[in-house]
Amino acid sequence: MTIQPAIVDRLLPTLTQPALVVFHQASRLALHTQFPQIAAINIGADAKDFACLGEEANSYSTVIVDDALARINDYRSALADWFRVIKPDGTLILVVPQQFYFEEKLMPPSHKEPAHRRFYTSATLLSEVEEALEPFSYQVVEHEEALGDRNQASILLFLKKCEPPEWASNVMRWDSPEMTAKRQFSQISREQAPGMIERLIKVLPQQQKPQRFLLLKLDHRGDFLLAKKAFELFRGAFPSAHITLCCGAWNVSAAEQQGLFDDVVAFDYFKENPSLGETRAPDESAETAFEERLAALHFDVAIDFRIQGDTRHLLERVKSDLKIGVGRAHQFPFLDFNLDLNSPVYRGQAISQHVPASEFSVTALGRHDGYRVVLGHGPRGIRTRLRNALGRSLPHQMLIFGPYEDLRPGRYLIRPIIEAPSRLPTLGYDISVNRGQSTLQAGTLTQKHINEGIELDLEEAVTGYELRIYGPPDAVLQFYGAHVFKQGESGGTHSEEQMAMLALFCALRLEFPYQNAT
Amino acid sequence: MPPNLVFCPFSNDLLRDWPISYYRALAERCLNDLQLVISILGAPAQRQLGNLLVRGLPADQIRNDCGRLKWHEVEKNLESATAVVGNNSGLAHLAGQIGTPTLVVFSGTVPYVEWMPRGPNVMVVAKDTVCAPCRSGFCPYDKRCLREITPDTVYKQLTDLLKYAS
Repeated sequence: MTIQPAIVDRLLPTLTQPALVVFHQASRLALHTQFPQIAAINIGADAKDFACLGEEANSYSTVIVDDALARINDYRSALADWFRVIKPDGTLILVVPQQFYFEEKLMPPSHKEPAHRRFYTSATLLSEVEEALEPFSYQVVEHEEALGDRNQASILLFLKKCEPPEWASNVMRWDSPEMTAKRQFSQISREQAPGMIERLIKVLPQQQKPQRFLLLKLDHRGDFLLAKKAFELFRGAFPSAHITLCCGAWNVSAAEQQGLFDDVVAFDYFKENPSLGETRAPDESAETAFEERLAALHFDVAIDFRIQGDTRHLLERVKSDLKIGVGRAHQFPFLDFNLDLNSPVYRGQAISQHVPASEFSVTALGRHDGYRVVLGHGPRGIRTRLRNALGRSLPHQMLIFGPYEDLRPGRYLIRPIIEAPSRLPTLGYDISVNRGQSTLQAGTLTQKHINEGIELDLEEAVTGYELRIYGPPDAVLQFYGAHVFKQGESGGTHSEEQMAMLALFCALRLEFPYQNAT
Repeated sequence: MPPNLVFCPFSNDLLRDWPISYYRALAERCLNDLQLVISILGAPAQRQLGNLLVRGLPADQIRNDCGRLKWHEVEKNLESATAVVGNNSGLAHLAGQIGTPTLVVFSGTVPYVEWMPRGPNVMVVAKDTVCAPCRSGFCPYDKRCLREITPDTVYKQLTDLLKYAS
């Protein structure tokens, strides 16, 4: 075969002894015959399984790989091994067939050389090199496509072996350190991090889909009617399930008319007409009666459709694998799934905002963990060390301050979220605007303020309001930010919508049932 | 060859990503003990990170497919895989919805109950740390919620998931 002079001429000046040609006996260019003066290794008849060259590391100044790469499955190991035997500053020259000019196909298999397992363009060749070789260990010094003769059309890639620069290790950090030090919180090592609950949570899929449901709706007539849309959605989500409804006797006929339930069980937990003087609250005997009423039944899922939480505990008396209702998990820990509607209304006020601790700053006596401020947990002698470090006496007070946000006119409750290990230390507060220039109010921060909030009336909009909490330097507490409530804010969902949400919540949650395991 | 196991190690948030070194350790264990063919899926910009996972491992057993596949090919890979391992990311959500057994290593940035991938064969592992959910853009604890979920733990959960799925 006559080799394109261009290729041989191109390679000749780069050959520096000691040199090696890695070839396959069917290599198109048979470069080992063109350079008889240099060593050659045949990668074997069946080259698909890569085998190490068996040469010492750093042995050759030049290694030419002639049409071998495309024949090897594990190109990554092959490239790494060929690169390994090259001396520092030596050159690895990869010669591979060019996909479009030689293979003349868009994808393998090759009809010219069946042993070619992969096709190469310059991009795919470089892609394999990047996978196989450490960045900084090589440089692409030359690259050429010799395409004149279609039978020999080749890509030539020249890689020089390099020593990584000293700073390379800064780049080759595997685990993304970029997220640290973005903000001004104190940096805390893992050892100093607060005590972690060493609990691994596992959420496991379950194959069994629930089929037997109990829906509790013990409300009065109006509330029951409002649940109609929710029940329709529920039945639509579980068309073949067996659904038992438990409701007050006064709602049984309405329930039967709806035609959505397989069974309707009457139980009068409340009185039918409390406005007519039937005001006796349900007691233990009512709960026992409820339990007995349903004692013979077992359900896959029991759901309480009452929005108010005063019937939720009845679910504890139902034989059911899963229990679902509206409310927060800590309110009803026996619920397997709880729909936290997170109503914006809290004690007649609307939650306008939760301001996290990260929006507040703390003076040197405190430690800011990002999600909280910790005071008084420093190691012994910290005050002395701080004083020595600062070269002056310490401030007499600790101070938490923030969040410099704007407020519209209105009546607010601002509730700092503070936890103290035992008794709340003596604390003061003030609320100011314009970076402390105008103080709107000030006083002692009491437990009542922490429970219910600091009242703040604003007749005009303010910019950059600041809440400052100060106290003695030995105060021990943790601060988690503040809740801000604004009277008159609305936006709550209608109870009909809430019940519909509960129905859809059940449909989605139970579509792919899962269980928690620790 | 279609992959048996797909890794989706990259999300849009570094805080949600289980450390790459852990994925690497998991990959080595899977290659040695399970003889599975692994594909790494991700975007073109994540290709160099994918290279960290595959470099030095056999090319015929673990592939860096980041940026190589069209979207429909990604879906096909996820659908045909025996199992998928990922973070809280779009690809894990896709795998969960497709129904492929999907193991999600979930960080503490947001509650897993609210944001975990859903599907008939989704398994989630998470570490319940006191700082979670932080909903933060930065972590002063060196991603402890993820670092304390070791490759050995995930390997064990993966073998459990494979048994469950079979």
